[in-house]
Amino acid sequence: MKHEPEMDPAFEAELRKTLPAKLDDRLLGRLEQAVAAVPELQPHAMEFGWKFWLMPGMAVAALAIILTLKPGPQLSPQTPHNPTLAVDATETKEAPLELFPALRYNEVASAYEGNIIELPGQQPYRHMRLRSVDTFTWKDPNGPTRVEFTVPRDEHLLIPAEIH
Amino acid sequence: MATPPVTNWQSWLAEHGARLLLFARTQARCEADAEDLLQDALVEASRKCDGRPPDLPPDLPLVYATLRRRAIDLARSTDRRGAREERVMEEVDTCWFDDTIEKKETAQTIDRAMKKMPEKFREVLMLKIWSELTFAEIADTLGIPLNTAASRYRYGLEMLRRDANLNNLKQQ
Repeated sequence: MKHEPEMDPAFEAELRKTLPAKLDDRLLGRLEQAVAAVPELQPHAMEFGWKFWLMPGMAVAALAIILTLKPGPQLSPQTPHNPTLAVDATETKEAPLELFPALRYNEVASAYEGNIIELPGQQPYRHMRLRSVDTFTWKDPNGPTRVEFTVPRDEHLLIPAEIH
Repeated sequence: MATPPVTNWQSWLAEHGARLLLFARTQARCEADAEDLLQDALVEASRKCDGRPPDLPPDLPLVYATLRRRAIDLARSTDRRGAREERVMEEVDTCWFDDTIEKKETAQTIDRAMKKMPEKFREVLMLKIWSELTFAEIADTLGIPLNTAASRYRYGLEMLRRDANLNNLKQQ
């Protein structure tokens, strides 16, 4: 016994003299058979509980933190400024986009009527300036891609004039 | 607890089997349940012993705790079946103590007194006197505070002493 407080050592000792009933052979055999049937325990390392994943998980978390906090490449002040365009050497593996003209229209934005131009030996002309916008639309027949661009244009005209 | 090192299940059962069965009987409602509880607790406790050689039995307090938990589970499931199937512990009056030869009268007297005692006192008394657990181990096994275990033991011991048939125990 460990150092335990005893309320009535003499009485307790007397009680202990009366032993529990022994196991009969039938029960003893049954218990021995039951514990013998317990499969051999697996070593700790083969258990896939939370402890198994703790260390790998911490390593992955630490790596993720390092990569997140790592500063990006900094420009060196000694590097001379090179104005050449950077060339993207990476190849695009996507299929090339094919666009076809779908719409073209012209819109006159403004018209200006200028002076009469008279040249010796010729009939007079009236100078007109038309400011217009040409709009071109290209579409991809296989998808929703649509490209539209506009070109402003000035047109100077000499229209024969009749002077009455 | 001064228990010599055991080498295998056979010697371990020979040493502790009777104590465990005694505790199982206090927890079960009938003899058959007590035997089933003991077997299930031994198997479960031996499975819990990670890293131990399979022929080395588990720690005794673990077996007691497992036995008690399984007894509670069994009692709950039995209660659900209804009173019709409820079996009374005293149906088969098996003496819990070694009532052979010269100590028969004393054993039967203690047996009767223990069976009459409220369970909360009886289980502490069983674990302390006949299983030789410490109060700390009893508290862990029963899931009660250490002081509660000690006070229940004191009350249980007093009840046992007050029993008329046990007054002359020392003289027997």
